[in-house]
Amino acid sequence: MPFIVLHLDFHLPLRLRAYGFFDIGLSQDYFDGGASRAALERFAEGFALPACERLLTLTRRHRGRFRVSLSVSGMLLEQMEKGQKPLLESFRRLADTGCAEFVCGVSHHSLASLFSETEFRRQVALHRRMIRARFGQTPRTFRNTAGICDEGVARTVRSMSFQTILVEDAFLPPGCKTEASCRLPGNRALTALIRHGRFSGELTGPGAEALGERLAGEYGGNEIICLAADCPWSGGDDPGASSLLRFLATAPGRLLKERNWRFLTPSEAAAGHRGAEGRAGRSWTGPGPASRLENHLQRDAANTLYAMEGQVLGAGSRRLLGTWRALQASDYLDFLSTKGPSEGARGGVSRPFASPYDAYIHYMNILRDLSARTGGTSGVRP
Amino acid sequence: MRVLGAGVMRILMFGWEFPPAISGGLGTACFGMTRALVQRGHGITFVVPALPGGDRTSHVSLVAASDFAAPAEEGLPAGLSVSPVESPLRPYMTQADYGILRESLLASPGPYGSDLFAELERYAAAAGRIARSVPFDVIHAHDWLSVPAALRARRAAGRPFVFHVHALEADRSGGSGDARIVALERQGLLEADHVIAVSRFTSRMIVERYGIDPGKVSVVYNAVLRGGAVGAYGVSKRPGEKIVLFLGRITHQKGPGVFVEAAAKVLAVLPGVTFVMAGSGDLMPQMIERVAELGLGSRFLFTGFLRGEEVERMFAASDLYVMPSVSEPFGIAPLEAMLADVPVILSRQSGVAEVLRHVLKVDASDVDDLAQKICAVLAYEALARELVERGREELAAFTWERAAGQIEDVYRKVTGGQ
Repeated sequence: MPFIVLHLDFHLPLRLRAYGFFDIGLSQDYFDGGASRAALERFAEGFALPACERLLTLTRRHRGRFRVSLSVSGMLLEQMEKGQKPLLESFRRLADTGCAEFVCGVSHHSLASLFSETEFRRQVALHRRMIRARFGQTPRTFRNTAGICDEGVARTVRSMSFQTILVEDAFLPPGCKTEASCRLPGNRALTALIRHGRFSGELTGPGAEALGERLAGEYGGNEIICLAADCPWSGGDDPGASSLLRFLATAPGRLLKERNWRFLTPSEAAAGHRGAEGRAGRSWTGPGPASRLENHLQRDAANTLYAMEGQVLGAGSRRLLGTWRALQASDYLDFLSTKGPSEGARGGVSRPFASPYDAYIHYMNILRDLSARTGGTSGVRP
Repeated sequence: MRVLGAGVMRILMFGWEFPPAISGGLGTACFGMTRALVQRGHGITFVVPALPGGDRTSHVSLVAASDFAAPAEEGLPAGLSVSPVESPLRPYMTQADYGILRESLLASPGPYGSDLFAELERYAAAAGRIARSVPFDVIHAHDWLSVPAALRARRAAGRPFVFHVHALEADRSGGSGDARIVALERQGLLEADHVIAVSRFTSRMIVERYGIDPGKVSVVYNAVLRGGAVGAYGVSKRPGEKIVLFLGRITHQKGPGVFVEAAAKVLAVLPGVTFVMAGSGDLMPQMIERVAELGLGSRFLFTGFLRGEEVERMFAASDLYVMPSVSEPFGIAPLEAMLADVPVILSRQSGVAEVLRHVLKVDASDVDDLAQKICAVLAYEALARELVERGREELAAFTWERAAGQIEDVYRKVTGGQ
């Protein structure tokens, strides 16, 4: 009996304003409200609302046999509350079906786990509270931004009583090979579900529609196939978004026609199929920041951002703390990628700035201003 | 004597400057291009109006119109000869500056004054004689000054004519320019069997302003030659001192005014920066006055015209190179800056901006944006590092070998693949 765990990660960063060097010290307008609202609307109309609608239809049509795992970033939750109530309502209705498990992430979709364990812990706790308040579920499953995982993340997450963790296949625990689930070495109470990289990639590729057929042909035994997609898209004109919508329209129905196929939430999958235990004693250091931050711009921006932690907390201002957290969205660092033909883009994210260099300049100007406001020296006006 | 194989061309090339006697980017480009073509087996006779000092050691056979019958043999790599045409156009070769040169030629009653077009006629007549005495398969002419000569050569020998446009009068003048020059350009573009433009920017102008069939225009980007001594200069700078460089003719086309205004804005927030304006040109007095007026004298240097090694030294000392040109058909200086590991800000109104990703781009008239980007490069070290390292990789694709291959395709097209 093959099992599918389908996980969708909904997230949308706020749009940054073009913040010039001469704005430093003069303006605190870091975010472009108008552009952010427009992006939210495109995201909702073009992708998120139709996606939720399809998920709701699936849960109704298959009477509980269809299950889905969702994470909705804290940043998106806050934006929806201000400007997209219908989408928030759709997520609530999904929560009410009992067929959707809301997975906890890092509230601001940040890479905090790579830089500061304390900030990471705070953002996980924050996201957990947000989910509890909005959807009435206490999350038992965790997925870090982009599925990043290593021993430290696993330890932190376990200490916060999570029982399941969704892991990107690139960050495979030692001894786990590519099985879809395994118990983590030295951390038996935590079950890892490993994302199937190839098939997950196809969710958002041109072959998404036929994926149901392919899976049905390829699997027949007692396997768990974990499909996960990050959905930070700008709308329906994005090829990734339209592929995923086509997948939702065809594939689950196709698979559930087979009598022995089932969809599971991550918690159900972990409870029933704990998998082999990873080999303890082997170090699992993970890939570290290098895997995400490949160039000087990204490393410099991230280091500057997280070096401010102490002074931001010390400033004692909730508003500044909120701003600092909002600036942690991993997208801002993704925009700084200078490699490949799709410069500045990762996973189909639309680029708000003309080049990664422009994105870096605006971002660093903002950090410089924020640093000055939280008591650091700006170095701008000697 | 080289045995010509299949596909190998004998090229009669008309230019108006060639190293070592050069005044600007055109000579440098002709040098690199011809060297790559010769390496691919082609033979080139390069005709220039005049050769000062008689130094004709080169890979081309340099021919002067006056003594084209006596091609230089000694020390020349096989396949290339350069022919100078003895004429009052000689000052082109020694004048430092492409623009000044044009203006001095057109100035009335200057040394050549209204005689320029008569001189071009004399150059053309010599070209006709050269065309009858040198065997060749294709004519390749660079910019408007070569047009009468190329057309005369074609009439004499009946070979196809490729017109290579490095700059148009509209770029140089910033306006409509000299009507006679525009007319010559138009004649060349209309009559040419094929046109090579140095960028899409220039190609667009050719199609839109001169009404040329886009199918007749190919874009071949220039390349840049890595000099031997780049980075080998010991530069003495005070620790922490930052130098921002403008290098080019100080004329309207190059946007020096925007550079000065941006400097003032940068110095208001980063007072320790030094700005250098290297070059000469008709707007230089005006720039000096403006710098004084803004009170930037202590932070702003004018070097005058730099050549050869001085240019390399200047790049080596700089932390940032800025090219704010109002209109630049290609612009090879940014590539030279990148070769010297200097980060670059350039205007979007340049051909080179089409092909470079690892530079910062601004609109030519946007003083504020330019100033803020200058500040960013100086303030954020990682930005300069990333630009320089990625730029190095990017430059590797700009070779004359690649350009020569594309030029060869054009030759094949116009000669019917012979």
